[in-house]
Amino acid sequence: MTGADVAAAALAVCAACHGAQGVSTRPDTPSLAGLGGFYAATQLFLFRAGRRTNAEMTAVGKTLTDDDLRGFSDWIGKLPPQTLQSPSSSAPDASLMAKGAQLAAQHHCLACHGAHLEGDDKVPRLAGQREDYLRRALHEFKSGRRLGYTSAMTEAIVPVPEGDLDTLAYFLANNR
Amino acid sequence: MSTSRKAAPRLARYAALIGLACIAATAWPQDKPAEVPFWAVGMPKGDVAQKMAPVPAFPVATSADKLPIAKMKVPPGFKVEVYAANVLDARGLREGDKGTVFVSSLFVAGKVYAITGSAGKREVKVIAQDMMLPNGIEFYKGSLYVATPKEVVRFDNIESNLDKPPAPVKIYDKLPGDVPHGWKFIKIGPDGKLYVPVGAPCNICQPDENHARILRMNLDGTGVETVAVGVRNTVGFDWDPKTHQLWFTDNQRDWLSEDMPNDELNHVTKMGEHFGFPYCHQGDFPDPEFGWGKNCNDYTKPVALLGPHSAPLGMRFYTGNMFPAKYRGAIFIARHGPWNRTKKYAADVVVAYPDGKGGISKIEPFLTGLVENNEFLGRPVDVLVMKDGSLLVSDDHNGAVYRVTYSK
Repeated sequence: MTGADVAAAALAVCAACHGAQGVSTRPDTPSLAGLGGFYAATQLFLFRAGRRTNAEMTAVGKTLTDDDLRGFSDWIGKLPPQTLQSPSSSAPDASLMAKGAQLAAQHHCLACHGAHLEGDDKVPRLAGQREDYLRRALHEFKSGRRLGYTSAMTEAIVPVPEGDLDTLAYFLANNR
Repeated sequence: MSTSRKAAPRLARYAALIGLACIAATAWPQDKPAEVPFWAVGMPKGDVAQKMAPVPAFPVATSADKLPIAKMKVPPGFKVEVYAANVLDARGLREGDKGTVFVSSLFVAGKVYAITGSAGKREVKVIAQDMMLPNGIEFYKGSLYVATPKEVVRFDNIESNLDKPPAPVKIYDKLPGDVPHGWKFIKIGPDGKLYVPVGAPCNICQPDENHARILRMNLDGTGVETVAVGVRNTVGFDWDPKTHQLWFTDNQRDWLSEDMPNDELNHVTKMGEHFGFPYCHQGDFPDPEFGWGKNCNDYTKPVALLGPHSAPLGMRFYTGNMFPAKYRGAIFIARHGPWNRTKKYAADVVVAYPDGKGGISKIEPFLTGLVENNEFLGRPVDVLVMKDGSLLVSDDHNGAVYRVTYSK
């Protein structure tokens, strides 16, 4: 596939749910803008291999060739992160944000995801991600339902109390 | 919020070498929750060290035309070609009686492959999948042995059943099963016994009596004996074709320093010898924590140092006839290349020449050129001397197997 073909295919396949510029307005559906290409490739690989499950992405994953996987992940990696929108119009709750910041520091979130939660090629950006998606992801890592490409999140989430996951998701999503 | 990156400390960064990718949720040992992954224990303070982590491989194998063949350098008269591409996460190599090349994998793929057919129409078949870290394989008398951290199984008459492999026969399932250094390299020795190592379940720790050793057992899993102790993590061994003595590579601890300690080539001359871990590294360096009150002279010293964090893995004595005479009886060693070092090097195949007196006279580079701009272009894992005398080299970074041949 040429670059233009990939972009067209990615727009047709990914953008339908994740938004034209990878900024999701759909419940439970993560924004792709700002994610690294390597990270995107690992997740597409996990969906294709049946190691990460989601009805829609599992269906998409089954159709992916290696070239699609490379092409789509390149396309995702080039989406500009600054197009992320704020998940809510009002100012975030200050006390929840303070609690979340403390949890993020305590559990070393910034060590991997970056001082500004911006991520990098291999570690996903969390800043400005949809809160509902982050909440689900954290609970899935905690329960062991979701396993990453590496063991980093499974190990990192062990000491985080179940009851703090929603606060953490709120803090991460409202960082932008 | 700015997208600029500050030098953030990275206590628990992603870890390809210890990834969970292919492990069922129930397989993950949850009894000892860790604040940081095992490989990060002992990490010094400071941003430079804290940015280092095992190097994850891309989840798609590199296509044949993009493999770094042109980058690889070998001595005059030798040639490197692609033996097979699209072998995602290619690790251990074994040759069957009928010419099938079996390839194991680790975190990314969790599969065992069989490569069949001749040049130009080679085919890569998956013969086992969804296995937990199936790094250890061996071919013996028609059967393929596969070892995970917990068990060893056997696929009988495998070469006649590559398209529909038989159900595996379990031969041993009492290995500890740890993820850290639990993956295997296995081989059946000249004594007809199966040699199975159990690594230290940590970067550095006091191992119990079930860890940090090489075991051997009968092929039905009975008669388990300890061959060597004080072995941190061996992922390659072979027997001297003349003396039938065991030699093994061993990966030494991380985080002590960029240049210490060296990884080792060791030589076992009597049963139960102690090779130093965790008390003494590289034969002359007591561990800063576990080395107090210990004397390095109380442990068997390595016969050769293979470089700090160079990650020597598969090794084979050269027993073929294709290569020049000087290589006969020499040891080819695949070095995976360091993650625990800011300056990358190795990622090569070296040759160690035994001196005939139980030691090594010299080590020289053999296949090089896979480090560029401080990044790996490929990472050799195992070597295999084929019946025709050529040498196969696996590369888990690209998911490929190369073949090295010689002609005058």
